[in-house]
Amino acid sequence: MKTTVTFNAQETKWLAKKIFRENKKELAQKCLIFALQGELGTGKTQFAKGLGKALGIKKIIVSPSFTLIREYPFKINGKKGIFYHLDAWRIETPEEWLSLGVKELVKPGNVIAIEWPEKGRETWNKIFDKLPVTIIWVKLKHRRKGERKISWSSKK
Amino acid sequence: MKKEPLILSIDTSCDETAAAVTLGRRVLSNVVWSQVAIHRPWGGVVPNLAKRAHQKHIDEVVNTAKKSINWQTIDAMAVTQGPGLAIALEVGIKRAKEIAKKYNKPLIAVDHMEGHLLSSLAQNSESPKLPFLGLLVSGGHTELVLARKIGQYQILGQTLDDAAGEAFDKVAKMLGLGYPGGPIISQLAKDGDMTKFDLPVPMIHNQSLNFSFSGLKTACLYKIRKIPEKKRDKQFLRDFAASFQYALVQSIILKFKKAVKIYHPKQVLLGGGVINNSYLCQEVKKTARCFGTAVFIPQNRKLLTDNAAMIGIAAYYKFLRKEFVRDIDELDRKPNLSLEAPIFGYPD
Repeated sequence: MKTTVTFNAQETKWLAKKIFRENKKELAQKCLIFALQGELGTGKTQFAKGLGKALGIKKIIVSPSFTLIREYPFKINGKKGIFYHLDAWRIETPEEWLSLGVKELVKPGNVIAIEWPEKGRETWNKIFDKLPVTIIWVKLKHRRKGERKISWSSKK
Repeated sequence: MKKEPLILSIDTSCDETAAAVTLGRRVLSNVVWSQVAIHRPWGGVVPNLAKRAHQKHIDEVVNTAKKSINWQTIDAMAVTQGPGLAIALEVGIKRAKEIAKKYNKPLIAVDHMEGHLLSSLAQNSESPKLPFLGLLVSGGHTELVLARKIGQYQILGQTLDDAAGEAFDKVAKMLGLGYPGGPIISQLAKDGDMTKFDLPVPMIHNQSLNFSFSGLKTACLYKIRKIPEKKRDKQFLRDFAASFQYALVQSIILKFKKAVKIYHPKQVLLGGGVINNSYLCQEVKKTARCFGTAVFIPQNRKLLTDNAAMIGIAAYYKFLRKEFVRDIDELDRKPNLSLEAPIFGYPD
């Protein structure tokens, strides 16, 4: 588990880029999943924006709360992939995600960011069981005004 | 006079099951089966529940909208293709395909946001003067759209994070209020002091026409936390709601004004559920009046929130342009459909 403190949204984006770079090589064989845990306003969407930036995505990464899944195609080192941004706030059961076709999103070379994954950690483990994934759990916490304590760990 | 096309439309993009019959721009029926009660306990739309409710009610809604109208007299079928929840969109598309095939009608695929954009043209004998500026504010979208021609749109600005309606919902949640947040907050704000809490007007120093509400959301969170729970009485809620609403509306007005200044639209068209917010609506009208620009507002509340009559209006223009679905079997949902690929500069 690594921990750091960011002092504004821009730094949260930079950190996302850094964590992505640390794990980038996984994409050759795996789907990279960022599980973003944190309360309202801790910067989950900012983190996702940072990932989008790292992937060279030009489209604006917006909150996925309305459509639950937003997708953004990208190309990195000549390899195409899709960045999926999910909001799990209102999803309770694995069946609900399965009916949204989440399993089909998991392909080597793709990147998935999930907001509010803590509501169903077991759900996610069940869904991703036996699929080619590397999951990075990211915890975002409010500190003083503007400050966020962010810790992350990866599990293969 | 040439007969106007009679169109049966379906919209199941989110949490309302809707069907309507339109004759040209006249609305003959506009039926909405609202799912709000189903989703309220969850504080937002739950896709699977939405899908099931759509499936359960679609036939009844379509039949009620179609009522006494003979299948033979219907000229085309229209359906929302996106944006929206994938598994909800599917239900309407499936039904529309079945009807189109069974009765051998041409099918028109409509962008839900074009429906909102053109919703003020329903029941309106006046035609919009081009170019017009659309201000669309809803639970899932906040957009400024320029139309040089009906059917050709440029997104001038959009939200970089949360939609305005989403911000209302999230702040309502922080305050321990119910769902949907918009109507509750605007009701409370009526008796509140909007100068009580100093909240930042988002994007005030940003030069683009984009919106952002996540910073305001976080500022609200910090402010609310500072106030002990026992002090959060009714008057606190009213004042906070008024202050939040003020900051949010001012940020929309700021960008709206800027867009009017730059693009000199001949008219302004409003659409989307958040336009129901009377403070926002008033401020938009006031601003437009300063520029001598006329504002079109959908004729009734039902045309503002999700409905199928607005899909019928957008379909009417597509009908005139003969934009029909070529292969009905191939038509698929597009949950991320956009009125265009944004062509403005990207932030940072």
